[in-house]
Amino acid sequence: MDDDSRNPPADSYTNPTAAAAPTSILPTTTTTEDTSSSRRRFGRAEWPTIDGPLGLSHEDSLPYARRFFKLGFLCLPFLWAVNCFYFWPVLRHPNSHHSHPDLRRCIERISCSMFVSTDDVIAHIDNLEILDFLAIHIFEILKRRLLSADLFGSAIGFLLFTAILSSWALTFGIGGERLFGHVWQELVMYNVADKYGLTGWM
Amino acid sequence: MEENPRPRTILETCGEEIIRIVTPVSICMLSVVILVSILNGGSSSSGDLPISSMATIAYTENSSDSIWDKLKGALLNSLVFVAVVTAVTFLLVLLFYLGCTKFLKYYMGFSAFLVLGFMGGEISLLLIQSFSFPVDCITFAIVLFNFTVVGVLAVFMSKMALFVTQAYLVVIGVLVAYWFTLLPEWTTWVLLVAMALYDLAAVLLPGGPLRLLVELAMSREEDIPALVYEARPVINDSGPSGGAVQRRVWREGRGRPVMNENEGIRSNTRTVLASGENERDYVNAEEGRADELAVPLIQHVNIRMNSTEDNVPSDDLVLEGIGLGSSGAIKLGLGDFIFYSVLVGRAAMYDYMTVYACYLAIIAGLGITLMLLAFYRKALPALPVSILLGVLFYLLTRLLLEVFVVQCSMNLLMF
Repeated sequence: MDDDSRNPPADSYTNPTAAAAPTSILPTTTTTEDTSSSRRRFGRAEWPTIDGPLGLSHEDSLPYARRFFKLGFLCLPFLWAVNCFYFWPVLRHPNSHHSHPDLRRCIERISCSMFVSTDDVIAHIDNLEILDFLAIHIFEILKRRLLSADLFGSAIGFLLFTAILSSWALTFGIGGERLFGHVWQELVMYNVADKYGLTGWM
Repeated sequence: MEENPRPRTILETCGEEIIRIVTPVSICMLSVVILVSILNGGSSSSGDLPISSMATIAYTENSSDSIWDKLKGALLNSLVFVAVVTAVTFLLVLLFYLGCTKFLKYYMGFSAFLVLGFMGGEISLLLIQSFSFPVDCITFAIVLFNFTVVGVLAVFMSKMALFVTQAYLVVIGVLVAYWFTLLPEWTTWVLLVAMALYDLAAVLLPGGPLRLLVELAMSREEDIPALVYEARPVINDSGPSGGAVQRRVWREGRGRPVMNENEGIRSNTRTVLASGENERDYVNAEEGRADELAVPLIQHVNIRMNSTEDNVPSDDLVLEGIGLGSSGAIKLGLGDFIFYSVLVGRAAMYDYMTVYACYLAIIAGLGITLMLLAFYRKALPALPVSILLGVLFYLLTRLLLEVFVVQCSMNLLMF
């Protein structure tokens, strides 16, 4: 492992004990306040969906959001809006560390074991576990970033499409015949409905 | 295992669950009343509209017929309709028995597409014409397309935003109910009563199709693919350790306790399982997942509406009675939404006084049904009590109360 992977970005951890220094994994001890605040921070972004425990898990979120993002390109901005609505917690807190249970466990265990000296910590924790921990961590961060990217794309796409469509609709509605002339009568919906007899089915 | 520090009162748990089912029913009824008021305000209410459908195949009502003729014709229409519904429900049972669940799901999506796309489009066109709203055809087409496709996805996919799914189910209910209110008057009322009786028979009789369906679904521990409104379950949050979730789950049949390994500090969930004979097992489930607990108690009323001129509003909505969902939430079939709204919509065609009376009757009936559901803990038909109370109140209001109130008002005595 090189130095980069040993040094996870500091902003993703709320717990200062988890900010790794090059030589040791966890330089400082943790206090109960840090643990509780980190737990609170974890708790806020706990569920990726707006439905909370009834919605999707973190694992299923990414393919779901990706699928909706791609489907939205079929002239379906409403799908993008639903995507943003569904994953609202992720949009609100894109940087907060989501709580993968294994990750939590590793962090908790490491921070608990910090009451011993650092040498003992390194001796206690298996090397494999450290690599595993970091690998999971980086992978999860990446997945979270991809999810946020999909959602930001959806949000931007929806806003853009809505801006264009509403400007056209307002121009049409407010401008009326003065602006468009004869074409207005051809385009307006109630005339089209009359022309083609669209309301005669019921 | 974590205990909820402050036990929630019965008002909070039961009351909230009841509210969560009464609210969408009320919204559906209100929307139908508004639609009826706007669109049918001009024309008379005695069924002069030449609507030809399955429900009027036997007899087309004419306002010049005698009462006895109208009654006979309405009875004939209703019989035909109930017969068709029974046949289609048995077909559904057969398909489900043969395992064609995918086909049923696709058919559900297709019918949702028809309802939202065609009926929704027509009703919005009628509204646009009524208000002379200056929208152009391109915008209208795009909006309708979006609305329809997202609606089909909401009905089709199991994991969609709950609010979106519920909203779309209510919209489908509103559209179908409005379509039903276009039927002739006598036919509508007799049809409502006939459907209530059919629901009663189909769910409670041993040979009834809905009962067979429920038993099949329970034995296979599968979900019936159907348009069902499921209210959001009431979730207790236990305080300090943020994420612990408590859910109540009712489950009938073989109450086998499911033990799942609980990982993580925050994902402590306690699920209470109750089998049909009042057994309780405490279970830990992880992170609020449904854990494939069987949907216990549901019923079906299958309704097919065919228009003879176009195959447009041809729906096969699978509708269910009241039951309990796998997460402890109350499930109400879409057919119940539709028929409640039809009753109130028809009442709106007469006067608003009947609307208030029928609304209260239906909500009272729904409350009674929910109480019976809690008491018996099996699938129950949601139509009979509400519809019969509603029809009774409509007749009493129209024949007795209105005269009284009008006379009192005219003589400046009351109101």
